[in-house]
Amino acid sequence: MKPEHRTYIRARSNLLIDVATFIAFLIATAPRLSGIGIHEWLGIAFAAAIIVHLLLHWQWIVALSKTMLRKARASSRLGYLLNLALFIDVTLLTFTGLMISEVALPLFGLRLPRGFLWRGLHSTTSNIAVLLIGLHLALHWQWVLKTTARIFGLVRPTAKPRQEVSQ
Amino acid sequence: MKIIARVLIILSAALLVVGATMAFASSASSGSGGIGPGRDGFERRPPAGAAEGSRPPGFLPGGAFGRGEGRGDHEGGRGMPAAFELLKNLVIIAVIIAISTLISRLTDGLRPQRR
Repeated sequence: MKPEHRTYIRARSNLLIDVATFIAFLIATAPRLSGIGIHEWLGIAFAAAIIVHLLLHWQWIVALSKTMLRKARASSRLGYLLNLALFIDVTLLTFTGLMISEVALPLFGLRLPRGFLWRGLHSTTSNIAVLLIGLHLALHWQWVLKTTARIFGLVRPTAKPRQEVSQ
Repeated sequence: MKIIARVLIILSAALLVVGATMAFASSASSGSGGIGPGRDGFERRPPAGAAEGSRPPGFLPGGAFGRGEGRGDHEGGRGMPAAFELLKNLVIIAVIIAISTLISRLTDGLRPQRR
């Protein structure tokens, strides 16, 4: 398989996973629309999708972690700090969601005492997540547009594809 | 094997965040007395005969939702269509993307061309 075709397939898979994760997040932010059961299971699936997302961009994370304090561009540093904040926020969002779970954990026989602190923190981290995901998307918007255009055949693949690590 | 190691690193980082939050919640609640978040963020039992009004809005005893109400603050106001929550978040994200794209284009236009 040609390298450019491999890069295209990888970019397409990344985009599809990211779109599915984003849709799951959007639906999870509307528990009155989805119902509490779907809200909780989508939240758990969202956390799992974030792990997959991190694994897919592992090289970028490692490369930038090494050069973070030295040679990285300002935009890359900003992206790195934003992603770090997003990771912390999503971790807290998932954790507090599990702590106040009314469907998912009781299914496994786990019933935690009611915690209003976790409930408040869950709301706050959810609101912050909307902003951080918006900024995260904005940082990679050009990549999203280019990859979408390539998938729908609106542009021809370039001879020298962009390195995924720079994403 | 490599993937398992990476997943473990991610989970360890998440555990650090959770541990720090638990420690913070414990230390924050240890100083406060009476009703409110107790150890590890769990609600302390209210004194006997306490008014039902001390409960946060939107929740019924036993964790059930009030009629037509959601979970916490971020679900929107009362009587608001459920789909509005989703649309609201979508619009917020779209506005953030639009503003940042605009700023990016403006700064690119102002930046001197490299030779």
